[in-house]
Amino acid sequence: MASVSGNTSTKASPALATTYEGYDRELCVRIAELVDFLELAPDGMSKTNGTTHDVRPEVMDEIAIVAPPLNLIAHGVGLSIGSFDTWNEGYLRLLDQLFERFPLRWHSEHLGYTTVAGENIGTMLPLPRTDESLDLVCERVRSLQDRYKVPFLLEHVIQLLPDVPESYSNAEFLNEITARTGCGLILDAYNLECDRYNLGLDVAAFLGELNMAPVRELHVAGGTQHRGFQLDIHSGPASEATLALALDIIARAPNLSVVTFEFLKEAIPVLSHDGICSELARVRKAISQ
Amino acid sequence: MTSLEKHQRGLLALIKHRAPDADDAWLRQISGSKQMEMLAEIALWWRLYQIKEQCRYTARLLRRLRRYEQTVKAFFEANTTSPYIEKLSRDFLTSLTVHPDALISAVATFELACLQIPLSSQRWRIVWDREPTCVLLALDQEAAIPPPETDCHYVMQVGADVPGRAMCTRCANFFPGSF
Repeated sequence: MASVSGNTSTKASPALATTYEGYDRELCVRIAELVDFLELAPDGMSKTNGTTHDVRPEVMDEIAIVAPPLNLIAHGVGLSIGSFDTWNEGYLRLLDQLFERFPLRWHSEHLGYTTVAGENIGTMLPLPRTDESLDLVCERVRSLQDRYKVPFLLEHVIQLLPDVPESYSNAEFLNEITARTGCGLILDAYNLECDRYNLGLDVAAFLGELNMAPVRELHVAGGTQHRGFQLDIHSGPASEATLALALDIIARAPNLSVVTFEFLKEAIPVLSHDGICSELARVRKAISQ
Repeated sequence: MTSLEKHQRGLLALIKHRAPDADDAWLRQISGSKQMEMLAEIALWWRLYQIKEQCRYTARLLRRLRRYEQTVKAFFEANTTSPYIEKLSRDFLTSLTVHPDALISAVATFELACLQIPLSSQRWRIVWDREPTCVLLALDQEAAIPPPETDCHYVMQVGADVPGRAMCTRCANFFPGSF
């Protein structure tokens, strides 16, 4: 079993996690034998009944069957922590329900927004890295920390558009958030590769500037290219380059305790159960070296 | 208006192909860029995927008629679409219940009624210009959709209180070709 302590003096291999959103018990049972953590996606496990939005009880039951030996973490996409007006209270309701049922080790969200003035934009966008964004996000992070009493982590999202004028650098912005709130970070090796491909991000300089101590979790995934862009559709196995970058990040991040192989449930027919299990074994082998 | 609000409202407008704030230099710079078009395409792609999964018959019919992408795009750009797939689907189907094409309207209303059965005691009355089971089977099996019947129409009742949840009656047209 891999370590989750994050002890730097005797740094062990990070633990392995993967995504699960329900309704595929065979996959759930198989991956449960291969990972140490299960990453639950509150949005993907939910259902709207008229006006209320709830985590599907049958999915929680499925997870309860396989969960006992596993650590559980929650990773959302629907909070919209960066919306200028308000975040998504419906997402917090889902998170409340998960926390009521399971002892989650931590929860996390993307540093972006999906809703503007109550209107869903259909995708997730990164925040402009300005003082105004910083103040907004930090206030909301503190509110989450007060509410759930377990660590909260933020993950950077890919960027397709150029920076707005007078932006913080990517690393400066994350450093400010973690310094002001004490929250943790998730780095996504594949997202960093997307930013390098699409916008020329200097990943080594980014990692050199970033305070790596708050990095608790690392995501690896594979995606696709479309019309000259590298897109963060988590639809394939991680490339060798992504794994190499992941190892570089593991070496730099003293408190990184979990590596999560992420895939979209929509990609399961393409990846296949065998393919997902092979990928988990491959990632485990890579991070255990 | 704060700059963050201006920024986010501007990007929403660009993704949905609406007019953004013309005073903002950064928004002007990215408007029409290939990056912006990629974002709009990604947003539309997700809506196409979600609706295809949730509104199976209506999506198949629209695809068969080669009107799927343009219909979803128009709906997405003109409406405040929900991030929740169930609500997105209901809203999309509702928008098609008044579609001028009688077959699109009937299929969308039928599918909406089926989605609503667990949530509502409403009874739906749907008029078809051709035998509905044959239409639904054709969509399921990718077979040819039967043509409209000129001498009759079909009145379908759908609801939780309807025996078998749905029943259909064939009615003769008083005037051929009308219903």
